[in-house]
Amino acid sequence: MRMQKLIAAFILACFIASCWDFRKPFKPPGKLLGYKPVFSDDSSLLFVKALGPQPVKFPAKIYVKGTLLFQNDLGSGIHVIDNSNPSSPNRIGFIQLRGNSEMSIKGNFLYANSFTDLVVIDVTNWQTPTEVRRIRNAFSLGNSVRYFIPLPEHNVYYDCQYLLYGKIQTGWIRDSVERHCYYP
Amino acid sequence: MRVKKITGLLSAILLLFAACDKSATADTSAQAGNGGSLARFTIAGDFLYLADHAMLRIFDISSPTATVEKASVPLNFGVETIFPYKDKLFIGATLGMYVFSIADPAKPVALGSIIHLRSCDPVVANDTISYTTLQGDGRCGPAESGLYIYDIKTITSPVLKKLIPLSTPYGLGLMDTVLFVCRGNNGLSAINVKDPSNPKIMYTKNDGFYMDVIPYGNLLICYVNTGILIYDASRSTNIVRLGSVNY
Repeated sequence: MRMQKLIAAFILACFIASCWDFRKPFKPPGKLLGYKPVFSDDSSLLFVKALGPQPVKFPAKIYVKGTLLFQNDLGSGIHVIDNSNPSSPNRIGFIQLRGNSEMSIKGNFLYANSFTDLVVIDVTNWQTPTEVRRIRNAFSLGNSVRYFIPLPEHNVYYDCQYLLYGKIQTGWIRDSVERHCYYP
Repeated sequence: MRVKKITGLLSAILLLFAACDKSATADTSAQAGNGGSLARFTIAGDFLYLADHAMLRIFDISSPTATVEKASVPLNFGVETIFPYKDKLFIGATLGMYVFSIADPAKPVALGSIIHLRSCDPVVANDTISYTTLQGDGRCGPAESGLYIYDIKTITSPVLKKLIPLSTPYGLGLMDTVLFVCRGNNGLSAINVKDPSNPKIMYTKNDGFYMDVIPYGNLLICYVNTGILIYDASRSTNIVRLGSVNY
């Protein structure tokens, strides 16, 4: 009797196993958990403005002009540091510029990207920055999300089906992703 | 005799005034600032150069409010950095370094290039030598990590003069005859390159995880993982930390 039960269980197990396709790597079907870009239609987000010193999130490239130091915060803007006394440099503010990763300054004008746009900003007084020119799609790192707003962590999947041109990305949200690319 | 003296004195005073006037009107604020070796944007004269992922794009900024794209030059895939020196642009890409003449700023002309194994590679240069750090690792590629020194006297055919193996090199900056190389957790190495075929590591600072460096006058501005460090580099034998801002 016990033997019969065992054989029945074995046959049942074989039956279930035959349903599995061992050729496919083990992966949940369809969607994966990862990060999905969050977009906004609010174009006022693109307005450049000066803020007080902000916490540093994704520090990136540095730039020097006179006694001021600048540092990109990937995706959000540029930190301004007063270096008139190099023994005690001082954070004095932040120029908010969405999707920023690069900058250069000549005279009173800051040239920086806002996502794929090139933006010219009058910084005669950096506390009142004024956008004087915006050239659409003048700078590309590949027409895909991920290049301007950093993913919150490494070793994750993200949804890479979205193209960035003309969009304002505000961040990432943890969600099931359809077309998954891996961020190492 | 006295007249001669007086005219001499007068002309000396005049000269002094002229010199004073020059320094007074040399308005540095009209100039461009300095970026690090990892930058993709750079300004030379009245032109802004952007190193796109696949393109060199040139913008006329002589009238900033009417900034306009003048030209674009296709580059091979994987462009990462751009460095201007006099009438040349040095472009670092994952597969090589490109040198462009910007003698005609709106029409860059390709002069030469070096193809290397896939890696990450910021460039700095002077008249005869270019310095590139290649980082060969999992993310960047299989090249040997180190400082690559190229003779660019014949700009159309740069020649590898010296390779110094260095672990984890990142950005770099040249101050006269001293080259500063950021090496992540392995510090900031100062290399005497007075004789570029015989470079010597003088010392290495270990105040953080060094990513990039900007030589600026007598100062070194370093971007590290914990903030920005400022060094006094007026003495070539050693740099002295002055201050820092933390994240």
